[in-house]
Amino acid sequence: MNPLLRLLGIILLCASASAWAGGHAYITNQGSDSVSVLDVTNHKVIATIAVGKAPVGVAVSARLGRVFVSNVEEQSLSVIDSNTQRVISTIAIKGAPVGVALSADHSQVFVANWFDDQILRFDSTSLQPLGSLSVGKAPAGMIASPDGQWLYVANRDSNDVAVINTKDWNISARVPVGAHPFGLTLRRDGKQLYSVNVYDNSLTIIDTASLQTSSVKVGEHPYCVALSPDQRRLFVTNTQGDDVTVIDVASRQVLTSIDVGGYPEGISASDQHIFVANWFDDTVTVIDPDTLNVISTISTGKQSRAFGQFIDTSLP
Amino acid sequence: MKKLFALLAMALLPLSAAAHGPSPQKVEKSVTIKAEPAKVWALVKDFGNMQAWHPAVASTKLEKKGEDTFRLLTLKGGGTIYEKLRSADDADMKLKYEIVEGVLPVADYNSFITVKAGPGAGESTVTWVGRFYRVYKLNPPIPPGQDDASALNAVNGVYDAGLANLKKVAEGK
Repeated sequence: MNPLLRLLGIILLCASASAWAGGHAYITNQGSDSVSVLDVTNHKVIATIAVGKAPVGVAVSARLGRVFVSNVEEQSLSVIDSNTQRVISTIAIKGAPVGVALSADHSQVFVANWFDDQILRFDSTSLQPLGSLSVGKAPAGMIASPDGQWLYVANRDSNDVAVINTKDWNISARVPVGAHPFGLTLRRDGKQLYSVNVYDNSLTIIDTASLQTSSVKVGEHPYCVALSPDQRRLFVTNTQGDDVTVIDVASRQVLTSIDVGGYPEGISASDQHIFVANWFDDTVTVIDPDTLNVISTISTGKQSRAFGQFIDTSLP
Repeated sequence: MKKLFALLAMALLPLSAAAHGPSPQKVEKSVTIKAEPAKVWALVKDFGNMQAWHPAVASTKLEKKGEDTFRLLTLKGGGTIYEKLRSADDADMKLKYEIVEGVLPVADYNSFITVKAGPGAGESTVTWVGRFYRVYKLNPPIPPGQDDASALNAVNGVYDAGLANLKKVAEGK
């Protein structure tokens, strides 16, 4: 290869790596109508972005260089360019947009319209609406299977998880879970799905092939769940326990609980650490998933929620 | 105090705690009391005697249902609030409770009160924290009295009046 071209290639690679959205956590701050952007390596706030009123849900796409944020009280979706950390578009969404998620290939963004019992679909690039579907009562957390075939939706007020076939957008199954499922996450291989059941203080483990379930007791009034980078442990935020329950995936046993800030809500993993948004304390707690020590507490905006996958660890 | 009664009387319909709005609200209030923490905690943890320190409460009726403890507060301005005890932890001096139903214009209300020693010798710091939602669960237009401001005003009023009087009672004034 021409040495000059090679050098140019290296420069381009470095430039794209520095702007990689996977290196950042996007924390929605309900009380300050903003998003705090954290560097997941040095645990510093690198930007604060003004969005709409009472932001809650978030989905991050490293490959698109975009972040989608639902502003529930403003009834809108903010689209952030993660290279410039600026809002590039705002989509009006009548109702109560809460949950936000991306399709497996990131070509579509899904918004759960809580009070209208609907999922809205948008093209993630053109931002044009693609359609909507009704799935159950008060849809909350959503996550797409890595093969692109399924979208899982936690229906908070139906006490089930809907399995939606993304070919025709029909509901393929509704899996009963505990009372008030809110947050969802999925193994990278798509084989196990986890639902956090707020009123039952439990986590439901769903085998995505058989749709068989089992459950594990967690702490008080749990909201959200994340897997450790090595997929061996689950971390569940307990909003009224001010702690995080740690579960061993293989044995389905609770290992311990870790004290974090007040009313922890959203939780996501970088390729090294677990990040927890503490609604009451206006902070993010960073946990080492191996030692289970709190290694950092970062001041964010007011009433941090960060509901959804607020870090994208996939390469752009 | 009169303002607080008026505020509470505004919403005399029993409110459901099951459905709530999308954005939780918070109130956190603290007071320093010139009394030993043990004395202050004894007042706070006495779940069946809230009228002993809260000026808006006329009487408290304690109820046991199996393992669970509830109290029915009858307010001086009219109306009731029915609350469930979540925990009363003597080691941490922390009382946790939630509203089952009542006249406060809030939904899904949960709260805790802590008593800590300090800042001075023989002093206590009491902190009362609440997390709750407005009554109206949908987005605007929101009916009057069911919005975030109404919920926040009511809880601020309850906490301010309660902590001020708890200080008076504990200090023996």
